[in-house]
Amino acid sequence: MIALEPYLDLIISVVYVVGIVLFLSLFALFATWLERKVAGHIQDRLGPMETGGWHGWLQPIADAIKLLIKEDIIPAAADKKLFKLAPYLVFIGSLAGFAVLPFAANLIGSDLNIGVYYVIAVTSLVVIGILMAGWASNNKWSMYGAMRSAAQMISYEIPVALSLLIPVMMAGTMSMVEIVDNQAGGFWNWYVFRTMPFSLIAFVIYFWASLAEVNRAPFDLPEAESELVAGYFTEYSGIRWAMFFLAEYGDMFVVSAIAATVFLGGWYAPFPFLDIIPGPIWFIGKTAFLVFVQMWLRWTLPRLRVDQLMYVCWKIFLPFSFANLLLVGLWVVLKG
Amino acid sequence: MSETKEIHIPLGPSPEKWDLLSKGIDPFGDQMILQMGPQHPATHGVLRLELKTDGEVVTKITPYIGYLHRCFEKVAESVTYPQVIPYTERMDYLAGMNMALSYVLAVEKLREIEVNDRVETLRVLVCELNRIASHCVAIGTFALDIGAWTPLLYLFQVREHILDLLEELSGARMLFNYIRIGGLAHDIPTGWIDKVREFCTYMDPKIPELNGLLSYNKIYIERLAHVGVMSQDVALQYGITGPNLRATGFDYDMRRDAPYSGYEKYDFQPQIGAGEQGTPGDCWDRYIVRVREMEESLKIIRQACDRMPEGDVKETIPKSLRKMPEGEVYVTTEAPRGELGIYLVSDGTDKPYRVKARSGAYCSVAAVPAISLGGLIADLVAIVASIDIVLGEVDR
Amino acid sequence: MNATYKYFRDIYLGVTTVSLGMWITFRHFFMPTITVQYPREKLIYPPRARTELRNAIESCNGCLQCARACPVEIIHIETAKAQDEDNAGNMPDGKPRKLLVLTFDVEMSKCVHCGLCVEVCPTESMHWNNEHEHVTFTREELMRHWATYPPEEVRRLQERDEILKAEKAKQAAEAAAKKAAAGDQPAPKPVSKPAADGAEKPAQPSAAAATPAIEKPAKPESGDGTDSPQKENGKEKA
Ligand code: SF4
Ligand code: SF4
Repeated sequence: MIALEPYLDLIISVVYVVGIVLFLSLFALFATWLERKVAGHIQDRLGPMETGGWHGWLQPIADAIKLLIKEDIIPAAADKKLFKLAPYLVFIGSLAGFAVLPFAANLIGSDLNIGVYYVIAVTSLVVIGILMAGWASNNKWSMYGAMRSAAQMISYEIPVALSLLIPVMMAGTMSMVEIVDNQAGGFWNWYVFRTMPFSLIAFVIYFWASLAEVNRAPFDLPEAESELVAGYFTEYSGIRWAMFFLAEYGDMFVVSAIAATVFLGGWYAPFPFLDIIPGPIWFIGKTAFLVFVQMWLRWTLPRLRVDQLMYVCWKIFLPFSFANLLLVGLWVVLKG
Repeated sequence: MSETKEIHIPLGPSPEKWDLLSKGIDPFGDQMILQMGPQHPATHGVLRLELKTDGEVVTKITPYIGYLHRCFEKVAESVTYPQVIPYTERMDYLAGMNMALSYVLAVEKLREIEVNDRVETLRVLVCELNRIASHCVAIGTFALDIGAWTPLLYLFQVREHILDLLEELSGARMLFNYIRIGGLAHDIPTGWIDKVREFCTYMDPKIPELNGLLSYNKIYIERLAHVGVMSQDVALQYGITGPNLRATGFDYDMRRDAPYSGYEKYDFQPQIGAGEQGTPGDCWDRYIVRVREMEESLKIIRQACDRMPEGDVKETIPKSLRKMPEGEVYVTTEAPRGELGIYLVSDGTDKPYRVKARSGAYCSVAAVPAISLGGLIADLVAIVASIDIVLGEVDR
Repeated sequence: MNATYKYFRDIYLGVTTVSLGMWITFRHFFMPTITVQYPREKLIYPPRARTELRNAIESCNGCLQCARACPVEIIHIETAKAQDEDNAGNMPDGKPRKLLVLTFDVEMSKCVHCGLCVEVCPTESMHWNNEHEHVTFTREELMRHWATYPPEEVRRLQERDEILKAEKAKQAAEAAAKKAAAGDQPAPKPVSKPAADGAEKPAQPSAAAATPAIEKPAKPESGDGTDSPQKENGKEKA
């Protein structure tokens, strides 16, 4: 019998990581199903209905199995090592964000004191993977997709960071748990509704800019189907493609979860008396709602052009974020 | 750098370029040659565009056509006159009625057949229904290329209604073989006119909805305004017709200016582009002209329903087309994608001696390089979508 | 001023039009869907729908009109004259059957569903069956054989037809020769030529009626059979 004591931390971490990977996979599967259902019903269709009986709820499993047993195709002229590595890098980038998501007061991978900062840093790791995929595919369309993606993600980091700074300033901390704790006690204490209208504007800017960060419509230029075939993953198929897909949905979850954490009160219920419902449910519920809104937007709006994307970032989001930041700073100082 | 590098160039480079290559100089400089199509999601079938790009800016475009060439003109010489009709409908498969009408009018002109009023009215009715269906696809795929998926599905619902109506009338959904030389294949089934009226009522709120969802969406306008501006000069030089020509502000519509099949009896207004959101003749104008044309078609359909005269639709169908008068005729009609001209030469036998089709989409493709140089790839996608080509009609 | 105005106006328009679009899609989210769950629910075809081509072979009289009307020339019909020994029976309209339809093959894979064959058919034996699920795994299965005669029977009947035809041609030729001989006595030599022509003329239409429109080179022996007796016939006469 080995003494477990010294390894207890390690075991807990491993269990948590496995749990998160499982959660991410399950969420991504569920999200693909939800996406199709949302798309279907918005377009007066039904979406998948066959697999699994009730509204085709087993469809994502069927798709996953199909992707797993598909032939693994690597283009002859591709840079094989990078080509194989890229999807995992992208996946890790999106997985790393989960480390600091506070599902509940004591259900968090690691309550870093620079939680917000960490999230901003690791989510931009994805860019490297995408650039790698685009370059290694040795395909012109992939290259275009990768370049667009890099330009877009790096630009949109700035408004994202600036608007995340507003709740940070109001809370006076970067720790996710503390930020959420500051919003306890009803929805009027959520940061999105405090210091109206500045934080609301910050929330809106964050939400839209995060769409660009995760390459979702109307900012889905890197994978713009009608322009670049499929952008940076044109050449991918089978399980590698599934990795990109998983990462995309994982990213959607991460950015929505952060919005839920810093703006929408994390695991707290909108009314104090509803707190009997466990925190993780509130948290995942709020996140899922934001994910739904992302899907709703995707099936409504056309796509922007590269220059307009940059225009929106640098000339609209950025000035507003700065003005916001200044005014909120002033407000915080005046309030003491 | 003195050895020959292995450079992958999709086109066979010319000898001079090989010389440069063997000296280690890249003849294309910073530019990249990009093959767009024939298997590309935004080329509306099998158009191939060979692009030279500098970054994302397109500096040279060469369209290649012919991937859907089905020898319509040659086949038409080897089948009898009525047997050509199914082939005409395969040119622009989205607007089979309009295609068949042009050919049928040519044969009728050659044979000097005067059809009765009911036939004419029904022909106008089905052609306008088909025009709406065709524009639905045009606008829907346009939106799809700009990245909006949902309008396509909404418009396909409208189209579905029309196809159901036409199926009930003719038996087929796309390749109708309904308009015949000297008449029509069938008279209308009972209650059909009421169904068409119902469709008009159903259609009425659809266009404002489309406008709200798409036409006046800021992102959509930004994507299309000032993009791919086609001046009137360019349009006339390239022989552009149909909605693309009207979008430049040139007020010309065959249905009004050279009426056929009794179009002079209807009250409608050809829509012209005025550069509402940008420059006259830009992509948005080409888009909105089609949307408004759907409304005009709806007007014509209503009038046709109201005035539907009595008569026998098979009254003037010739018993035999074995003996045709010798001669040649040229007939043009306003098809949804521009003027469709049919030039028909007869040598007196039961088969045409020569059939030439002049299609609007063919001219539109030719004008793509002229209007899209210097834009981004995304603009090119918008332009190709905005001129609304059907490769079946381009290649024939 | 103008640029500032435009800047804010653009933002305003962006926000309002995007919201309007989202409202429209949101409304559609709760509208009833139009999907028809195909294998379980099926749409009803209108009576005129051109679905799957069928031929009620017992009512087909072998007139070949459909084969002539088809723009893609995919209907292949072979017929033989009905004789008393066949007990061919009656057509549905009560008249005795004149032609046996030996083969009636349609290459459905090439059919364009134009409906011209159905329209010209005088007996309405060509028809649409109001079903559309004619999916097969191979192209051969799409070759529809509607005639019921086994191949040996087809060959036998064709040969019989040839022999009968040859006989007829011979009779006609003899009759013509007799006529010619009876009509003109003084010049036997030059007259023999027109007589031979005349011998072939009556043979021609009957041959055209019996075996036209057989583009299929499936039965080369029948083609030989048609030619050789006639040729011999002509030679003998000449
Ligand atoms: S429906 Fe088919 S078989 Fe009949 S004429 Fe047309 S193509 Fe030929
Ligand atoms: S047209 Fe009708 S009756 Fe004549 S051969 Fe064809 S199927 Fe038979």
